[in-house]
Order: sequence, then structure tokens, then C-alpha cells
Amino acid sequence: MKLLVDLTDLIKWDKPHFTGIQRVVNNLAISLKRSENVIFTYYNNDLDEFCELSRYEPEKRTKDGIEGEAIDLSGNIIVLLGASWNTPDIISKIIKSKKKSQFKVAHFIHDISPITVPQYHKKHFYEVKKSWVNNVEKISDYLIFNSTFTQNEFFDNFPACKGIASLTIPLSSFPTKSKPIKPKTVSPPYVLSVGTIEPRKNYHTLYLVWKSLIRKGFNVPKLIIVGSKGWNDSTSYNLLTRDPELRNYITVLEGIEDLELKWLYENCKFTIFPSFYEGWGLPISESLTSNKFCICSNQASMKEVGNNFTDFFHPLDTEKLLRLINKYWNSPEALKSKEDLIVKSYSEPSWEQLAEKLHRFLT
Amino acid sequence: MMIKDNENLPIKLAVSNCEYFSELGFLKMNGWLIPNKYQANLIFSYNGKDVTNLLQKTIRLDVEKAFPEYKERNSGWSNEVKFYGIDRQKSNELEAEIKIDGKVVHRQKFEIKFIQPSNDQNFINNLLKSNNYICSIGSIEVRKNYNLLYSIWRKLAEEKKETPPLVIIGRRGYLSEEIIHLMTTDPLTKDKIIILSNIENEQKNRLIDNSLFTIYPSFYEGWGLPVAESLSRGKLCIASNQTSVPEIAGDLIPYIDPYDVTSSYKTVLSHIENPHKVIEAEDKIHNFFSTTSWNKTTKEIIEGFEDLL
Repeated sequence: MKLLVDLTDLIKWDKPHFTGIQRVVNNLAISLKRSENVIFTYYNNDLDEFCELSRYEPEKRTKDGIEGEAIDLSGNIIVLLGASWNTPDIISKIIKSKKKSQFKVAHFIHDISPITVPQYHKKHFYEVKKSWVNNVEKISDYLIFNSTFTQNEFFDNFPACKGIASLTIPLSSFPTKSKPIKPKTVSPPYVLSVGTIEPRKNYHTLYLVWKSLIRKGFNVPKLIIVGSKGWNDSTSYNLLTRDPELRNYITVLEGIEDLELKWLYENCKFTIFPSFYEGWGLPISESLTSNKFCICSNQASMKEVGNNFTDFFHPLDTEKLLRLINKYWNSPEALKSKEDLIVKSYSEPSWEQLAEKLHRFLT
Repeated sequence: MMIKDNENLPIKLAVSNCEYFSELGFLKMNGWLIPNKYQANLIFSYNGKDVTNLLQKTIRLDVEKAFPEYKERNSGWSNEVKFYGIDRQKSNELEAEIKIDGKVVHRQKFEIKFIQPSNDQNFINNLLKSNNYICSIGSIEVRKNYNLLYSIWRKLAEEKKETPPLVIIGRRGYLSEEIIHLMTTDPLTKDKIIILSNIENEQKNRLIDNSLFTIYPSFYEGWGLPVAESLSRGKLCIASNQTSVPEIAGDLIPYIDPYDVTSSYKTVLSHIENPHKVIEAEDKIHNFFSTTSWNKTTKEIIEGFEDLL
């Protein structure tokens, strides 16, 4: 029996930088590659077959080796780690093939937010995700979740799936120990916030709080936002980048490389993550693993990630966020005691360990 | 046997909804496209002019709904297309063209159904009769800070408070579609926030009169007419404390900091939960607020000029 790890959505990804889901797929793929009986595959539209990605190297994102041979699915497990709602042709192929041969399907569930918080997505996405879940229910033999929150939310909304074998693997963060690179035009001290500028990430609250810090005469921290302009939030983007009062305090950086991001984490005073909804919340663990304190939203999965290492606030509670920023920006002692706790007690599994756990679960 | 992409099945395009916003001449549509190859160009022309040209790569499952016969075929597309410049007076023609490898393979005309924002008179009458809603007046744009009201109503719903609906009376302006999307698709607020556009003056006055109170959370105003309008009709307005707004009502009304969701939420909630606060404020307004009539304004301007001369 072989694990056929499907990487179609990595191969199709045509933007220069990965966002959350692709990073998870990529990191798991790199680690799974070392395990036995793992074969990378992709779905070849022209042949209507899963084909082997013989020479694909996820570390390099090379697109070589995508002309591999068609693979017989029978007796194997096909592992869908990515955004399979975007590749319904793969799901259709699996449905067709399951009628003809015996094989199993493992599905990674990142979140079902288009169903539970539709306001953060395009309208039609609700239907897309619903029919995706229907198919997940039809074809999956194993489900893998990124947090207890995602697992609970999924089973609460789709109780018929409760019978499917499931595994929850809290995620890891930075994969390598490579040396971070300092981005140009950045100089500490600053506070860091990472995530695409879209309504779900709630940059609007950061805008309001920074305006208040200035207007109320506080010692105003410099804020660096790493995130590209996403869907439906020109409002926040404009407010953050065009308000003259904020010009000296807020910088939005787009197109940052992973190693630069690492530098930004390692050299910030602390991070803020005000998101309304996450399936996991990578920027929280990235912050903690860089030994940096995070002021973090108390919604969805985020309490699981931040645990007792972060301070929480409700994403609409501007007063509390302002108070926390003032506290940790102005009191080195308060910040130090949080950092000491993180250094002493915070640990997260490596991607290798997660891949191993996944491998064990499936084999 | 292998199934090829939509062999022998024709190319199709469906539009599931066409929303037309009169103020901006802005049309939004949702649709599905079935190309017989993996990539196709979808071009919309409007009154003969190209308005969009989208290379569609993403394929979507929900195509099954529009074209059941294509079930389990690997094709389909769904997206929102927006374009501007719609002239209500003209008979508009919308045409879509699908190109594959530069060749036109499909053409389709559409009838644009103008869906006006629902200003159903029955609905408004029921609202007026209920006497149980909060009003906010002003065009929907970033500066007016409707985001604060969305946040407050979201928080009220999260806290499971019995909340009167928020009725927004305003034209759709700059970036309004973003905040309207949040308000109208968020399960916590979609039944609690009502947006009314194209309201006649008289109707607007009645909506103010029958409301519990009004709110005006703007970031910036040169004057802030809706505050004066509300007060001149004897209605309390909870207003922004920024720029010129406090000049209008002095200490007759409670103010909110438009940058502070937490305290604004508390102020609104306390006026919902304590009707006596609203009555006390209305008494104060009744006794002390004097409307600046347009006659008086004109007179002051003329006198001002006379002083200069």
C-alpha cells in the first residue's frame, strides 16, 4: 500500500508566494517525502489520471517532473492535503474511480468558513464549499483536521461525517533553521502583524486602535503589516496606507520572502493577530516559535494556538487592545516575563513529527 | 473508459443573478461558464463596448446546479463580475463572448433585470408601525464609518441582546459594496441591518420620527446635517465626537468616539436598555435645541458680508 500525496494545487499555484494552506501542504510534503511508500502525484487533466510527480521537489517549487506516468490507484491511499474545493475535477475523478477500483481517500480539512462565516467570502463560495463537503462525505475514508476547533465545527455542521476515522494535528510553523534575511527599509523597534488584508483578518481594528493611540497622545509604536491586498477590503487597505496621520507609524509590506518574514518575527517587540476567524492561525505559532509574545484574538481556533503564552482580546474590543498594546510597548518587564515563559515552556511539533504522525495514522 | 472534457456537450454560460445599483450605475453578476477546454476567455460587452475580459482558470463544483447534465464533468466557472457605467434611461444590451485560443466559440445576450434595493412600501409601513428601530442617515461610504455600526450590531448579536434593527438610509457611495457585503451576509447581522436607498424626504422624516433614536458615527464632517435633522425633529442622535459634530448639539446629546468600538457599543447598548435615558435626552432637546432655519443661515451670511463691506 502506498500513500499517493496529491500536490495538484501546489503545481497549479501561479502566484509568487504561498498563503496559509499552500504552506501547510508544502511543509508536510517536504517531510512526507522522507517516509516510506510515499509517492507525489498530480491530476493530469488531459489524461484524466493521477500521475506520478517523479522529480518534483517541494523545497524548490520546481515544476520539473510533472510529465510522470499514470498511477493505478487500487490498494493505495490518495492523500488530499490542499484546497481540494478548488479542484473539483479531482473529486469527480475520485468519485468515478471509486466505482471501479478499491482505494482509500484521506482528506485534510482546513476550515469550513465559507459556510459558517460567509461574510468573509464571495457569495458563491458558500455553495461551492457545501457541495465540496457533500463530496468529502461521499469519498473520504480518513479526515485530518488542523485544530480541535475545526474538527468540532465540521462535525457540528455535518454530523453524518462523524463515522469517518479522524486525526487532529495542530500545525507547526517555520520549517527550517536557515538564516533569516533582513528586509530593506525596516528598522526596529516595531510591532508586527501578519496576514492578507481582507475583512476576516480584521485590520480595521488595528486602524482604529492606531488612530486612538495617536489621538490620545500615547507613545505610538511603529506597526509593520506583512500581507498583500486581498479580497473585499480596499477599505482597510486605503485607511492603513493613505491616512496622513498614520504615515509615520504604519507600513504595509507586500511580497516578503519567507526568510525575511522570519527576520521580521525575530526582531519585532511583539505581534498582534486580531483575526475574526481561523482554522488554525499560523502567525500565532510563528510568533511564539520566534520567542515573541502575541496579542491575539480569542475567536475560533486561536485560543488553542496561543494557549497560555498569549494575551487574548475580543477582535472588536478596541479598548482592551489599546490597553494591551500600551502595556507591552511601554513595559519591558511585562514583555520580558511573557518572553521568558515562551522561551521556557513553549514548544511545537516539527513538520517532520507531524508528517510522521500522519503517516502512522494512515498506514 | 475515460471521460473526456465535455465531449459532445455544448458550451454554456448562465447568469444566476444580476444586481443593479442605481446610484452608481453598477452591475454585479454571478454566473457559470462551461468551456470545453481548460481555459477560456470570457468577455462581457455592454452596449457594444468591452467591459470585462477575464481569463478563467478556476473550475467550480457548483456548476452542477446550473447545468445538471454536466455533472461530474470537469469544467465550470463561477464568479462575480462587476462593471460600471450603466445608463438607466437607455435600453442596455449586455453580451458575453467566450473565446478559446482567440476564437469566439460562444455568444450570448442577456437581459439586465434591474433589481432595485427593496424599498417595499409595506415593509417600510411595518417598520414605521413597530416604532422599534434605530436610524442612521448618510451615504454609505468609508468616511461615514458604518463599519462601527456593523461592529456594534455584530457584538450585540454575539452577546445575544434583544436588539432593535438598524435602519440605514443612504445612497451607496465609495467602497460601499464592501461594508454592505459584510452587513448583509454575516449570519449575525443580516436580519438586523436594513439598508434603504432612494427614500423621499417626507418618508425619511417619518422614519426618523418613529425611530427609537438615531446614530451618526462619522469620522469627519464639515457640518453633519443628519444630527441637526434628528434634533430638529425632537429625536435623540448619538453622534460622533469628531470634527464639527459637537458644534451642532453641544451638551444635549451623548457622543461616541468613532475610533472606539468598545465604548461606542456600551453607549448604544445603554440607550437601548434604558429607554428613560432616551426620554430624558429628548426632553433636553425639546427645551434647549434651536434649529437653525435656512432663513436664519441666509440672514447670517448676508450680515457677515455687510460687516466686511
